[in-house]
Amino acid sequence: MNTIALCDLKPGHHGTICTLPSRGSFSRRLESLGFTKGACVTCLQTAKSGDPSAFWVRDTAVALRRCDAKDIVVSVLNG
Amino acid sequence: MEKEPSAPFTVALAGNPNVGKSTLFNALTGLHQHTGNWPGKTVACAKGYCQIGTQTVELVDLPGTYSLSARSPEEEIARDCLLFTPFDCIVVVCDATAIARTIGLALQTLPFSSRVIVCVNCMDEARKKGISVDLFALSDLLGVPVVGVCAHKKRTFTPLLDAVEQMLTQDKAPVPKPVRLSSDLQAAVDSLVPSFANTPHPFLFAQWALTDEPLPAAYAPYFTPEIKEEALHLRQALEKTGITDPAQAVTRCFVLHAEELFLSAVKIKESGQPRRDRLLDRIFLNRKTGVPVMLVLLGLILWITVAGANIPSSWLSQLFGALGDWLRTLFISWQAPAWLTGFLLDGVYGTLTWVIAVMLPPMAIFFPLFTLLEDFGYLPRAAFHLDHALCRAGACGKQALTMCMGLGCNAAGVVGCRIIDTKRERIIAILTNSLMPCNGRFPTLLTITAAFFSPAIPTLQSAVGAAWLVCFLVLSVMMTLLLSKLLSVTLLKGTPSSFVLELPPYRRPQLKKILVRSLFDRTLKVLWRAVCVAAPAGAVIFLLANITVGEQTLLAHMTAFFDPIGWFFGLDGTILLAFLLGFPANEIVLPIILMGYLSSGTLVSVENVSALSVLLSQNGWTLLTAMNMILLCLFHFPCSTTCLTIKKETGSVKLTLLAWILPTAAGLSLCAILTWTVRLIAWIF
Repeated sequence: MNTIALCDLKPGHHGTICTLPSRGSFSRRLESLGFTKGACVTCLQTAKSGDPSAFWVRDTAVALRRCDAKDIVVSVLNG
Repeated sequence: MEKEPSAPFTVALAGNPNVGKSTLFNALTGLHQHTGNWPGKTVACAKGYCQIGTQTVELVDLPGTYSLSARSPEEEIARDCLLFTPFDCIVVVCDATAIARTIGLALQTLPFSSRVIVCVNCMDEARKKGISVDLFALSDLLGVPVVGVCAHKKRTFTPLLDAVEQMLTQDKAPVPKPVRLSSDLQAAVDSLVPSFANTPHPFLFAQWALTDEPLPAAYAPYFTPEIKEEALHLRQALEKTGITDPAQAVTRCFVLHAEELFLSAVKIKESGQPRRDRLLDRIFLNRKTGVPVMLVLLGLILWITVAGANIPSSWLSQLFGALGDWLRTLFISWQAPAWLTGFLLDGVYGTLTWVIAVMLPPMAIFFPLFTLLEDFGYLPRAAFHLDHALCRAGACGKQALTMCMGLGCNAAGVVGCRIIDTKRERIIAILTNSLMPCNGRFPTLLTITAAFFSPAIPTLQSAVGAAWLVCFLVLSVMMTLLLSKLLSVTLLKGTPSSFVLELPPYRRPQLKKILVRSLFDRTLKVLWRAVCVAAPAGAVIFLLANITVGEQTLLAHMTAFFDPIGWFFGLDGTILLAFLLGFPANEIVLPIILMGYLSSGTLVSVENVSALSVLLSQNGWTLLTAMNMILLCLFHFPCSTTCLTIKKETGSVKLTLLAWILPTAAGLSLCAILTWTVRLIAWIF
């Protein structure tokens, strides 16, 4: 299984979340938005400079910055 | 706490951001809280009354919050209000299209209140997307009433109203089934509960103490060093059982529970993403088309504003002119003294009608169009594209949203800055908000552009005017970025914090509602404020222009004093004085300038743009003066209302002063640079 950081997920590609950043209120905010272990994430679009990216997770589109998405590890579901 | 029987019941509306609390609140109370399709619209509690059955109920609309562990000031307001107000009923609003995510707050509310009703909003939207929510199953699993509504349709409210009425009139409260923590966690929390026995919510506070969550300010003293010590021991003990991060473990229990609820109560016909939204996002969020589309949308709105405002503006001036003439003959027939006629008609009436004629049409066009975009759900997409630039400037991506609000009114923009989580980034956003030209400055920009930068071909005039305005706005954004960067490397040092922005689903804008609401709520409100300022300001200016000291009027003395300073910046004394006198409201800057030039001492309504450009040219205006005027109009101190708001939001006189100085310094330096470059070039050649 191919695991990468969420920020490296290409637009149109899907993945399942393996690990989340472990500490701090930020990870709790992520979880309350639906970024939980095992959740399926799709990268929708990436802005012009490659930052931020929009993700589809649990029926919602959420934008994350690269530096915030790099601590989330996903296993890639398709090519 | 017991309530007096005569006092009305209080009911809270809580929920995640952008689930439609305010829409529901407005529909129930008949009030007109501003709503919009982006998270963070409501930043303060709103109160209203409504009749539910035979009961009069006070309804409180709380700012949206994802969870009870507050991260931003608006969330803190919501949390503290939810925890410490003895509500008779708490209605937690969720979104039917995203139950798994939005029901979290309801789950967190259940442990400390049994008077909860879960209200599932957007039932119609969910049905269209093939999502069906089993309300009975949910109610069974949660142990509290669950009702479905469509906040836009009043006729769907009956189940909600019935449920609230039942909750208020019945003595027996429902028995909620709160989330079960894992046994280790539960034991750890339980052992801390006795220490918080004297607080309103021992269990919740014990949980926060364990997870090292900051307690609400009033209860922080309960978290004594001994309890901290105990919590630390408990955390260490938990670590041995494999729970390294209790906070995350608690959240996980809630998330898993929400997921279970979702699986057992929600059926989705065709799983996957809504096709229409993704198609739109492919255009609006796209790395290639996103930014151009943003500029085109902006240009289009401004073009419609410019093109559409001209005609009603001239109608209004003619109407007010005729009315003024009629009033004048009336005054003469009463044999009123000349000074009174002058004071009332030329001073007060003249300024007042100028402000209305110039401001009303562009606002009445711009606000509804802007609200249309807002309702549609576009604003967060604009923030998406601006985030990277803002991030590099050390600011928060949500600042783009507050900048958009600043386009309407800077005071509103400053209040909107509450959606920004960290204090540093919030202050940056507040200090730089007035760099976005508010609606009061639009007419000045429009008029100067029309007088100096428009082509002779009439058909192209509005398009070119709109193009210039887009350029000015881009300049404003660039200046905002520059000053944000400057602030974040000097006074407000720090690295950008994490940024999470929800991109809400696109919604079909409610055309009729937008037209009515943006006209009455925004346009007339802003206009009324301008009028309140314009009338007395007109009186003062009239006096300044008509009281003579020595050879000259007071106004002439003052402009003479400012003239050398004005010359240095490529302006003149009249312009500088007009900006200073226009401190109460930016709308009256241009009228003051005109009055200064026409020594008649009355405001003149120059209906014809070419007449205006002739008048200005006669008073020494060149293209350079016009450009400097525009720069200063874009970048100068915020108006008095905004200053007061900044003082209120930051609680600091120093920061307010900085918010005053910063844009002024930026504007004046730009003027000086431009002027001296041009003068140097002219001197060389």
